[in-house]
Amino acid sequence: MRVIIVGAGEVGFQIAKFLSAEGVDVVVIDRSKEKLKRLSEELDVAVIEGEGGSPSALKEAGVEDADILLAVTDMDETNMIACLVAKVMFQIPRSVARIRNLEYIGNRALLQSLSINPAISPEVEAAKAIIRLLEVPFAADVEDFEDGRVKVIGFRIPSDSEMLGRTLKELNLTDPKVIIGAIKRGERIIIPSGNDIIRRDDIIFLAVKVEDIEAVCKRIGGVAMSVNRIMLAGGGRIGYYVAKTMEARDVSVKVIEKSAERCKFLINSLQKSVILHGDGSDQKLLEEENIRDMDVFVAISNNEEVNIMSSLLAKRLGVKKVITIVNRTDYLPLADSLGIDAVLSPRLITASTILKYVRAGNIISLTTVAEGKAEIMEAEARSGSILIGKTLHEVELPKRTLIGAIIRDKGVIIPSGSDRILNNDKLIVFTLKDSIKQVEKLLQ
Amino acid sequence: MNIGLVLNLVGIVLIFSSVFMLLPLLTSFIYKGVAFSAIGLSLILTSISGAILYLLTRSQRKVELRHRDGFAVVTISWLIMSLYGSFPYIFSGVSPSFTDAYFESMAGFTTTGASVLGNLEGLPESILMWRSLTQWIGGMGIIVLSIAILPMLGVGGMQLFKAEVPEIGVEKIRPRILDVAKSLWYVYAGLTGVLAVLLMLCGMSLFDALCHSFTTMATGGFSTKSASISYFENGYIDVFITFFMFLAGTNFSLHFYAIRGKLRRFTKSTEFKFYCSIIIVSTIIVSLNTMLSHGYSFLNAIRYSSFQVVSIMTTTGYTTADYERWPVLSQMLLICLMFFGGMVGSTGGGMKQVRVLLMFKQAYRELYHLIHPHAVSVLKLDGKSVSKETLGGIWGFLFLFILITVFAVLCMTALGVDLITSASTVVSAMSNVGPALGDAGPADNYSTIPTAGKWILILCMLVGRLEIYTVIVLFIPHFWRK
Repeated sequence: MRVIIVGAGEVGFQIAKFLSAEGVDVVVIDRSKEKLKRLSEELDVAVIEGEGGSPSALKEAGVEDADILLAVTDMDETNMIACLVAKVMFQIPRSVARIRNLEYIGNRALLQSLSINPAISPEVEAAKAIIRLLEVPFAADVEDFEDGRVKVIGFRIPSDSEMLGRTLKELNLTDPKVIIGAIKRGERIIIPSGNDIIRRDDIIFLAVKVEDIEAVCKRIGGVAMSVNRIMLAGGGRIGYYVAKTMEARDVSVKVIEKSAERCKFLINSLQKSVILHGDGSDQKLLEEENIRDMDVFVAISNNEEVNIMSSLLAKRLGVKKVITIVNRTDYLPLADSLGIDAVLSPRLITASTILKYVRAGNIISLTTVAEGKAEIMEAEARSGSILIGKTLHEVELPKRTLIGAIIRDKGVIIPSGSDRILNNDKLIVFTLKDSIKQVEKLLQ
Repeated sequence: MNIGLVLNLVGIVLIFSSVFMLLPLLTSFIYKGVAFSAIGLSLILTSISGAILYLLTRSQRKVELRHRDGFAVVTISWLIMSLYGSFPYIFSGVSPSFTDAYFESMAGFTTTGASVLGNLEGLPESILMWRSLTQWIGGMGIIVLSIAILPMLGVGGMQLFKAEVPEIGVEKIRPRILDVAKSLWYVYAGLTGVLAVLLMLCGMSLFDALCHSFTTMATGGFSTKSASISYFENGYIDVFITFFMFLAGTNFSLHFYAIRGKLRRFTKSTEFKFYCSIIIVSTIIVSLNTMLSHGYSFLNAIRYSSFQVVSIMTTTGYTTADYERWPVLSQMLLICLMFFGGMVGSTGGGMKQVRVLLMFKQAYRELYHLIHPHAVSVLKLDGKSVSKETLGGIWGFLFLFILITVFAVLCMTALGVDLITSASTVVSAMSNVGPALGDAGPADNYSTIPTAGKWILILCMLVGRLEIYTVIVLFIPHFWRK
């Protein structure tokens, strides 16, 4: 498979890194020599210097044999032109574009005429990720599958959890039944067996049916609180989108925004939210606005350092949960160790969302969690696969691979060893990067 | 530097080289088993050493190969590979002296083709096969081969590739380094096969045809005959070998595109045009020169001059004529051509055409600026601007190349070797050509060079083959600092 990426920024880099490690032919086009240099030094990809929309650059990149074009520069127009050129001049089968402007995203006819499928807005994706986290407030990470009917949730094990120090076998998580598909311990990721022990500060990833979430939270030792009051530090595009969605769900929202101009826009476009003109890292303002009664504090300003600082402040002032947005992926592990409940990087989320669409064959989607170290794959077992008809007990999966859930017709099964895999089942598989190909082979 | 990981990769390289020893072993089997045990023993020693290195350091595989580790892996691999490659010469008694055997082995792997062995016709076929094969392995590079075969090298493979094949001007013909390495080796092996068939059609035996194809495509220059190609006295053989030496000195990515039907890449490449013009102009000068002074007929003059020009400039080093008897002008011209070498991305050595070309352009630009002090100009190659860093890299390369050459000549003269021999052998070794002038001329060999001198030349060959930076960087204290 050949993938052409237009734009060698952070999003392009993350996508290229992931795909090239998987063995895909990746060609990256950018006009910045410096960015390309970093790419060609760190990754096994071909790079071409040029404008993303330039036919000659695209041709040089081998667009004629490419399967998909990913236009991910931070300029909507460049991305759209690249897709247009690739479609009209080279008949590329599919394009995915990163588009900021919601007016463009909303216009299906426009996108279709450019054969952009889909258009992905980093801000909207980040906002959606925040909203998913607000829906399961106890989680550190939430990914949706099958329109949200199954969620893969990452929980941070609290220090008073009854699960601590026990092996998975002893825990016997049957009511409700869940399977721990991955454990993140510090920088490491473990695809566990029955003998692995849960430790403090582990983040465990489980596939959970949407109706079981509350029970699972309780089981792990978290408070299954519901979110009624949130405070957003930052009223940019992400903040606006989150506020709008949450106020429609009858959650009381307070938005702190530094720019008076932006505040005016927010007060005009939002219905019930309280708009505060000020600084998210202003202790007095936070106290004045009863930070300790808030359920969740979300730091979404453009400045990641300010986000981290204000999150720490809010946590100290007694908010139950903080979510922080950082852009630089270098900061992700750092923020984790500072005790911030959940850290999101819009660029990583965008990269991961785009990657979901770069799939061929049986894999419906592939999501990475824990900074891209573990993979959660949704894949279909089609007729002819050697897995079909076998029980999970009999199936020989590659090393460090687990089946976390089976989706059959409209139902979701959290499987045990005696469950069989049937034709057209969709499987949620936890695995590591090296094993993706093997799993793919098993399913064919 | 991560020694464990470096040794692990060196182990892999050794295992690969031992696999290649199967071919001379087979040759020996066909030719009445002469030197069978010598080669068999070398094979066993090499593979076992490789396997031990690999297994002992296997736990280091998970660490990612860093940029600077790549240099160490490549340099150490070449040193150790040459060491094990010298075993067949020692064990078979062909060259009892370790220095001579190592010299022969290094001259093989670096495709220099300088030999200390006299009377080649008296040597076992299997040893001759091993000599030629070492050049073939070294021509495209054993590291490139490992990358092509081992997908697990991944990003680390790229660092290695860059250390063995210098970046300048080499485009990534395929997005993944594994595919690049594979394509290069396919083209290389394919051309070798075609040449072997052609040579057999001209009447060579399978054995001679194979050996000469190996050393032609590698621009190596080892022959199975003491008189080199002139032994065959066959005009067709001369022509075919001239043409394939020319191909071997051409950038292999151009061949790759040609196979895909993109022949226009040849005419678009400024370096290729430069390479062709130099060959044509030099051939004309040498032809005229030899016609006037030697009384060669027109056709003979063209045949011998073109062969010698291409052979020396692509750094192959075959001979069809004893050019030491040619006029001094022709001799000097040939020495100059040694510096030029092949195109970048070819198997040829030397400074590489593109570097010389860019230096010409740079010099022209300086002059242009003297005339138009306010002019804005940019140095372009094939329509693309060349960055200051690239030019700086070339200046540095040029300086080091000359510095090392001069220093090595000094050392050689200190050993009492005469000036012509010292200068020509060092240039020949640095550019991986083979024959030189004086005591090591086309009709003689390197056996008369003193032992210390041989070691100097061994280092020159290695430094020249790996294009200087990869080896010299290991001698910079910063490299070893934590």
